[in-house]
Amino acid sequence: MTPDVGVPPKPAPPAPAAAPEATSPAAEPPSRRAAEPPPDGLTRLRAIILGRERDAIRRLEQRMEDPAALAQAVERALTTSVRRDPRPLADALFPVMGPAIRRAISQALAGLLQSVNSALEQSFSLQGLAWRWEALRTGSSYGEVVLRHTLLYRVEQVFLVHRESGLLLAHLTTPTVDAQAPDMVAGMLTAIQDFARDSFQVAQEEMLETMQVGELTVWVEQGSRTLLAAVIRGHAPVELRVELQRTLEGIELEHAPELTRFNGDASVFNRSRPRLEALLLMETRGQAGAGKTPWRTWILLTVALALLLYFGIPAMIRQHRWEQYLTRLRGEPGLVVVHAARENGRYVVRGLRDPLAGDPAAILQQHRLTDEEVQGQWQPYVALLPGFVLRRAERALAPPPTITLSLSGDTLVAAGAAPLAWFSRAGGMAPALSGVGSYVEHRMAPRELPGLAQLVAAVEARRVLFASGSASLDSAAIQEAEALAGEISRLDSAATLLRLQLGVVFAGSADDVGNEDINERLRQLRGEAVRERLLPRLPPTLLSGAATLPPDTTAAPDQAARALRRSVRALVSLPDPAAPEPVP
Amino acid sequence: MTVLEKKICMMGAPGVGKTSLVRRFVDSVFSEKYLSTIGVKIDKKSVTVEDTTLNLMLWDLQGEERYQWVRLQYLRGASGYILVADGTRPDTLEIALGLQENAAGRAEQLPFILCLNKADLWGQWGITATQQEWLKEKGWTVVQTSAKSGDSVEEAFLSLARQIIAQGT
Repeated sequence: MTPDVGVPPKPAPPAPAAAPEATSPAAEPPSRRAAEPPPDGLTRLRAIILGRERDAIRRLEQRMEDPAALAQAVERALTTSVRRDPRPLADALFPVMGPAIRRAISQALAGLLQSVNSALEQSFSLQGLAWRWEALRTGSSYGEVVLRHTLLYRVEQVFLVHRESGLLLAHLTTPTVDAQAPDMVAGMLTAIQDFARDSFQVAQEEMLETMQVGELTVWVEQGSRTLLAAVIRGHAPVELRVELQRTLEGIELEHAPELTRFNGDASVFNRSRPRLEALLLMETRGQAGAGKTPWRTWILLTVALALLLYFGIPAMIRQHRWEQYLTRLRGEPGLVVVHAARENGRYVVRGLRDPLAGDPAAILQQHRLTDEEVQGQWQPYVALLPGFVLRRAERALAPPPTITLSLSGDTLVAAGAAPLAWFSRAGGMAPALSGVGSYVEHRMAPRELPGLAQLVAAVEARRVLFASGSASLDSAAIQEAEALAGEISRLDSAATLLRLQLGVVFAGSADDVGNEDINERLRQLRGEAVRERLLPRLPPTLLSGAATLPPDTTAAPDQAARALRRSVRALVSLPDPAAPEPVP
Repeated sequence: MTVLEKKICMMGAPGVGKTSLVRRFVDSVFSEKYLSTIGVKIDKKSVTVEDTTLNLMLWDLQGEERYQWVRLQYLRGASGYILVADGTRPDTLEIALGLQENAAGRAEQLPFILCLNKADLWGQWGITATQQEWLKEKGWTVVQTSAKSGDSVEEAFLSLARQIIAQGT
């Protein structure tokens, strides 16, 4: 200040800001020029004393009005404030940011929930399986595939509404949609917001964000001065809501001055139509294809499945039976499968068959196959398996039951009792049989035949004992006689099977005490007593008579031996078929 | 030709004929059931004043008398309002006066008109000419309307529209 007062003003180049005023008053606005009186002494004095300060003030005013310069200053101020202590700024912004952040988080969670719900709904269905397959095939995650398919939607109408008055600022529809009275609908949308707020007593900034009517959903986004409502058909993803918010923010930014002094003229908002149109274009990719239910595919698949079931399953069963049949044939002795295949729609098996082998036709039946399904072509052959050689020998030699044929290596062995004629015939024929190298005979007496020998021994071991000098049966003797009869019956049955005629004689004996005549008499009486006793129990043809055994002249060593001699025993006779026929 | 959209609220005691007053003169898509369910029904009335067309979005507010006070918040964003009273029932004029007082205290001075309805029942009127004079002296625009005959209804809308344009709300 001091220099200005002390030093008179120089005609030095003035500051650029002050230049217009000082040099060309004509540049001033006319009104201002007219209002200002011509410079008098006081004004000049003021210019001299306060000239610099006035310039500085003017520069400051200009900077205050220049948004760019102001932005720099505000940015610097904010940065400094936050650096020093972020809390005051955070506290100031919180009422604005808090609800917005809360809403963003809740919408993100809702979106996540929606995706999870869709995924779960589809997880266990046929559709879900198909999508899993698609995910595998395309290498994308299952979630991506689910989203791609479930997010089918179309934004049919968009309303931009002045929030305070409920007046419609802009309205767009997709070409096919017939919207009625959008200006009144816009008013009602606002009214409903108020209605919801009043009815449920929520905070003023809360709002009715979603309305659902059948397939239609109305999503409402709220800005500071406008509402953006989108009428959506189908399931829109949460990204659409984000897009609505973004669009709304863009519009409010672009139209901030018009919104501040809105007087009911909606035409200015035509500028925002492209932004709104972009929302209408947000159709999903799958929309066109998804409208068509792939019912043709389903019908085709169903028919194919039915055909497969109708023809495939019987064929599978037939194939299975055929394989089982072949396995059985290959394991069957005497059958050799040479060729097995499917020819001209039927199975064919060719091979060799021993006449003694199982019948392939019967085996076919057991496997529930018909000779129409399976054709068998069998050539006869002779199998040299031991079983077959033996069976052929039995068939050729026709041995009596008392003969057992066996094969040891290639030697045929005939063991047992048989008429001589049989032995001579067998000896002649056997070596000529296929598979038989040599022939051996083991001739046996009938009572030596295995199976008979033991029974004969059991019968002949029995003793019916008598008291000294007695020929009558006491109770012990009767019991023993009964047991003897049982043994004889068993032996008779076995002999009958072998076609042998059994004969039994009851032979009495006596001890060495007393008179020999009496003893002889006792021997006879004792034999007859047992025979009489058992006659009703046994076939009469069996019991040829009673006999006496010759006296045992040796001295009995003790009483027990002596008692054993006072007895009757049965003597068995079995005629040998090899013996010459007795001449009658 | 300029087209402007304006929000107008219709207020008045129940039974004064707000709804029937406009019924014959407006474009309507919503049924009157809206009034009883959500308490608001919006109709549209287009009025042309010189080279300006005003699309008046008429917010018809319904409800019991006591709710009328609550619903004053619907005045937010409105460019004017229509008070309706029943010419045969002086008490409804009292309510209209109360509503105006509240509306005036709530927002900036909005243009409004008072419709004294049921002009066709002139013989039964309870509102005196003196009262009407007094209102006009206060600067009110008072129109005697008849929903039944339709008398002066167009005039009432036109009158409000002129005020709105004059005031530039």
